[in-house]
Amino acid sequence: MRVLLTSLRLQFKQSLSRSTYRFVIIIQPILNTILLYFILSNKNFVNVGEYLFVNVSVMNLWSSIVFSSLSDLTREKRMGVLGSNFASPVKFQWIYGGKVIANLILALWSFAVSYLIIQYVFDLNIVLPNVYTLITVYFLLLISFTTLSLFLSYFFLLNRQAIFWINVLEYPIYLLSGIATSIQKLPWFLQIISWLLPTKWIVGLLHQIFNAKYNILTSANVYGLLILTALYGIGIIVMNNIMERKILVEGQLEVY
Amino acid sequence: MNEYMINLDKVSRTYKEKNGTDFVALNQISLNVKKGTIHGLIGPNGAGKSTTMKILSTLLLPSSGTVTMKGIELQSNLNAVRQDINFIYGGERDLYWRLTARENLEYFSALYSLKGVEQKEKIKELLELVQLTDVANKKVETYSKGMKQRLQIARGLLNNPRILLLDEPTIGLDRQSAEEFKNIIRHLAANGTTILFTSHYLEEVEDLSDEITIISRGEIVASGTAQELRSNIGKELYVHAVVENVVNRKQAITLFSRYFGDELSVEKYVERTGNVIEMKVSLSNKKLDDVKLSSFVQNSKIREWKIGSPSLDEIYRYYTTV
Repeated sequence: MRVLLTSLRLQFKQSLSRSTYRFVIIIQPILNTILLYFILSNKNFVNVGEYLFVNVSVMNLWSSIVFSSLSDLTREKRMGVLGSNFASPVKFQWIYGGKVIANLILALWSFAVSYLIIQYVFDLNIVLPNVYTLITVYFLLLISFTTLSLFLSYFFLLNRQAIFWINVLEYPIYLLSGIATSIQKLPWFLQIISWLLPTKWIVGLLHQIFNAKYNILTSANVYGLLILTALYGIGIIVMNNIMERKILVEGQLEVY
Repeated sequence: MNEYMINLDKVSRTYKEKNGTDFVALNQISLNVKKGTIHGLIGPNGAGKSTTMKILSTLLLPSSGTVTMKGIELQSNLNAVRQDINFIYGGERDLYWRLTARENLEYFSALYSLKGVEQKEKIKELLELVQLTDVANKKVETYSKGMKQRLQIARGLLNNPRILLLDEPTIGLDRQSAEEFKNIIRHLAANGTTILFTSHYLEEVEDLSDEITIISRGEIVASGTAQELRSNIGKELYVHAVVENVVNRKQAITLFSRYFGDELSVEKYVERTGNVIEMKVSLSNKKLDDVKLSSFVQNSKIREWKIGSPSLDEIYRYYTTV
């Protein structure tokens, strides 16, 4: 746990010192908000402001994962620190978990940016749910995104084309999670894929709480999110063992 | 008790190449490093030095053979070994450049369970050792190459490693920084740390090492103290002579061959004025026959001559040149 907190603290400093990350949490939310506003503006939503806020927030979180947490792996590989981290007595998931959580906490800033743009530039009203509900859901979201990001990180660990895949991953998730369009409009096989993504359940859950239709005991989104988080959690343990062995056998951390 | 802190027994390592064939990086190497000694590992690029270091750093498993570190078998006890070893690589790696030196050390020390006062004291001590106390709160990206390398040393010593692995640690350092680095290494060894290091700077290897291992094409071709390596080859490996009444290279080679056999190679050939040549030959004979040597000196018209003791560079070339 101490390593996780140290890694988290280090990541705060590292991320904020990088112009790319500052772009991800300040400029990109502005662009995403504008983009999504025009995509959704001709739709007949009663509460378009809240709808826009929820979707753009999840969009920003996803950007934070792919362009920060996953990119960090390739960056650390280049810097040589990935090898030092891997060969330390601490398990990789504690070190990397701290980094992911730090990036997700920092991504809260992007929520604020989007909120201000929607509220004051587009003049759309957003009624925030009660603070306890928000904190509970954000906590769920944090755990769920952390497990997803850690799970994905194992695929990028030895992948020499990680940057390519990081870019490829960004936009399809917006479609599969119901951010840019309704999932029901997608072909059935894509809808099945979307069920495997925490983002889909998070979007659903956030819409519920903003519509005051949230009940933790009856929300299918909560259960969907918890089940997926548990599955990804198990996946992390399995992948950790597989990848640790693979790294030791293939030796592709490129420390030298 | 095993006097060796590092022990490799018939260790092999193969990599799968893109075309599906196996590339043998290490072929049944056996190596022992005694406690508290500095052991130099030298060899040309691609010889297997880095693969050896990766295996010992717990970043890679051998394909076969046994590796024991501080008496613990490595392959099935990685974490037990990791707590007591550390490594330093040359070339400005292994650091977070956007953090300060102190932040880097705080982070890496946490990986080795250092905390509280103990952590602070250790960081203070190491910053003083590598003379970075004054700039400890500056970002690493503002450091010179030598400063980054010194910080790497501090990072590598955070866990008081009983075994320290150094892969080309002085690469790119100026002479003064390299000297400072060597002093730190000597100080560590004197305090019981076992050090295995690779370098392309042979003078540095000879200067620092208690023992030297030469590796070539994945195999250990020689190992021992510098003195042992010299005597293995034969101290009279080189004959450097200035000879009169020799008109050309061919005649000179014939003269040398008459006494030392055909298996010699010319290291240096300079024609001086007046049918005088200066020639240095290296001999493949391991020992020079004293009778032949005195016969050579007496019968040849030699103005000056010197039988050279091979330098480490010459020993290295002797073992690694195909």
